[in-house]
Amino acid sequence: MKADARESRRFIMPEMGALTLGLLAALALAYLAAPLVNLLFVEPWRDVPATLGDPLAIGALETSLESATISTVIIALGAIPLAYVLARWRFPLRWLVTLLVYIPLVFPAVVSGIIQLLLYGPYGPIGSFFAAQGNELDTTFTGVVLAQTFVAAPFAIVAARAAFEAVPTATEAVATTLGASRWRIFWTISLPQASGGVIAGLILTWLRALGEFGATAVLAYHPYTLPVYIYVQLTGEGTPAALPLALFSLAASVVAIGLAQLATTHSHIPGASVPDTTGRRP
Amino acid sequence: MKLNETPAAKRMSENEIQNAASMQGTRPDAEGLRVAFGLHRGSFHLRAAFAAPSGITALLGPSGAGKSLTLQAIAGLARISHGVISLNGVALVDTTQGAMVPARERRIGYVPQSYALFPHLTVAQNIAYGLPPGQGGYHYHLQGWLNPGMRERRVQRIAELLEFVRLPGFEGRRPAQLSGGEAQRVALARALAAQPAALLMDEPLSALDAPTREAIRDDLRAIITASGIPTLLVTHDLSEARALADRLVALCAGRVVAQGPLGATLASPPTTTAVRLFGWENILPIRSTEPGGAYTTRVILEDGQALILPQAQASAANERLALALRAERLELRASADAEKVFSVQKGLELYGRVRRATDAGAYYRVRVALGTRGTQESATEEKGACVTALCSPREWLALGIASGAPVSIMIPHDAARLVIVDDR
Repeated sequence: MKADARESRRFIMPEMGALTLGLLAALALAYLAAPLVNLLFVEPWRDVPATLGDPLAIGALETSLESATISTVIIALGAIPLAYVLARWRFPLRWLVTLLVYIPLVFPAVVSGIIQLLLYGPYGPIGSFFAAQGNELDTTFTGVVLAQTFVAAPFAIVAARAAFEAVPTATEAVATTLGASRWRIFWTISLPQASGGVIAGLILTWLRALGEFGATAVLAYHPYTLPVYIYVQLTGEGTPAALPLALFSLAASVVAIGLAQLATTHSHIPGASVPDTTGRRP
Repeated sequence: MKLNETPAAKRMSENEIQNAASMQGTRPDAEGLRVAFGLHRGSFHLRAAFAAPSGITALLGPSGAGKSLTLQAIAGLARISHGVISLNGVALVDTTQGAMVPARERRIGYVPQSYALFPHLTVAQNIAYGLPPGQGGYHYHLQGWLNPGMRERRVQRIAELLEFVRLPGFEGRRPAQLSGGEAQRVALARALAAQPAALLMDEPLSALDAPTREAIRDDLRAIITASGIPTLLVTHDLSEARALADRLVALCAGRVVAQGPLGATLASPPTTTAVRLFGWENILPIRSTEPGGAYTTRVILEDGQALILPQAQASAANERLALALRAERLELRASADAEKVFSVQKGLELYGRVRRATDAGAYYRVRVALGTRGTQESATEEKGACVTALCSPREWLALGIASGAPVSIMIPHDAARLVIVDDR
């Protein structure tokens, strides 16, 4: 009996290919985890309570959380329809629209900030209009939201587009023959099936907005967002003052990523969790 | 030469469609679906002109023939280039008049090949999606709040429909929990909920495994027949068309090659494409034909054997002709007694030697190399015209002959036809 058990638990040499893949995956993980693990040892833990009592830090955190949330809501309103249009409609210059969507991903965030400043700044065509009425767009909370929205929107659009493309067109076709309008089909057929991918995309968008630094620093240095305040503390006081703030970011990221995971596993994306309804092919 | 490749032929076919459209298009007494339209998709040209009146019509064709595209055009999901689609005498599309009823107002039920159940809704919600507003369809929650009777009506209607498709009590299930056959019937119930004037089904059985397919075929036919809704179903499978349909429309390379009542259509394929589609299996090249009286044609095969067909010679002089034989109707006889029959009957009979016989379970597929003079050795060579006959195992074993043996092939009058060569 015992011999049999030992026999069955005998180590089986994995295939070379699987070994290589596992090794590469482990290397990637180590590379990503190393700075975080190191942080736990370097972190000046005794400074944390003092930082938590710093009103500027709390203010920056509030600004970041509020602006990132508002940006994400704005993005959701525009990006979901845009993603749907890109996924479903065929129209001339569709490639150009796709290109425009990707540009904020390619630009250095600072450049995104500069080109926005040219538009929304006190001498820009839009910014000067508002400035004349005493509502400057730059260096205000509005400016923070503008910068974050521009930089973070592509994340929502790309994710939602992929999610809409994965919705079987046959379900939309059937809904049409059942008398449903495009509006009704979008809300009752397309969006619910794409919801997992859309929500995951919006959570990533929120994270991106929360962590946004470059464009915000150029367009709206004040009021401080968390990343800008970390930068301010780093240049003014050095690492020990900046690092405890990073814990805020880390905590927010962990929560949001967990939610994103939850959204994608409990979605209706075909092939993700809901088996196909095409019958039982052998 | 393919007919549909020359511009002249294309023009001609467009005229054909116009004629067909004006003939059958919007007659008020025209029951069911009448279509006559052309449609272009890249280099593919689809020209469909046929009728699907009451009962079940099968649109039979090989893959790539344009069957699904035809369904989509009828449902309003694909735009036609020219022609007419009418339902119960009312034009859904008429390009000559610029009329176009949008897909959502056509009242045509559509069951795609994948069934396309809404995965995020329950079976009851799937079915309710198409219910008319008065029965608890769209805006049900608002209406249900205003009108308390609505909820009962909705629940009752869903239960009726599930009963109708023989799935009582399935309301609360999710599409993911259904078998293929159940999913299909839910999709059917969902289409019927909208009270369609016609029903379209794309390959209704092909997504099911073979035993389920057998079991569900009769059910499906009974349900559709009981609904009384004219139904057009697409299939690439002849046996499926035979089991389900009353009428047949054969589509090949974007053209209708034959149509009519199922039995009569299968018995009279006009062209070689139709012969292949209808499972006749045998197309023999011929050397010449000559009129053999008012209603008969004498056909001489390439090996010199002659047959007299009870069919007037096809009039078109420029068409190449071939002889088609229906494999399942052919009867084999050992050559010795064939000699006697030959002297009496003198007609539909061919001679050859058995090349090989394959046991296909329900029948034997026997290949016979044609030729009166051949030897046992020449019969096994892979050249010369060959005839396939399907024999019941009893019939074949009773013959007691082996490869190379001389046989005569007895051909019933309705199992041989001169057909136009329209491929290769």
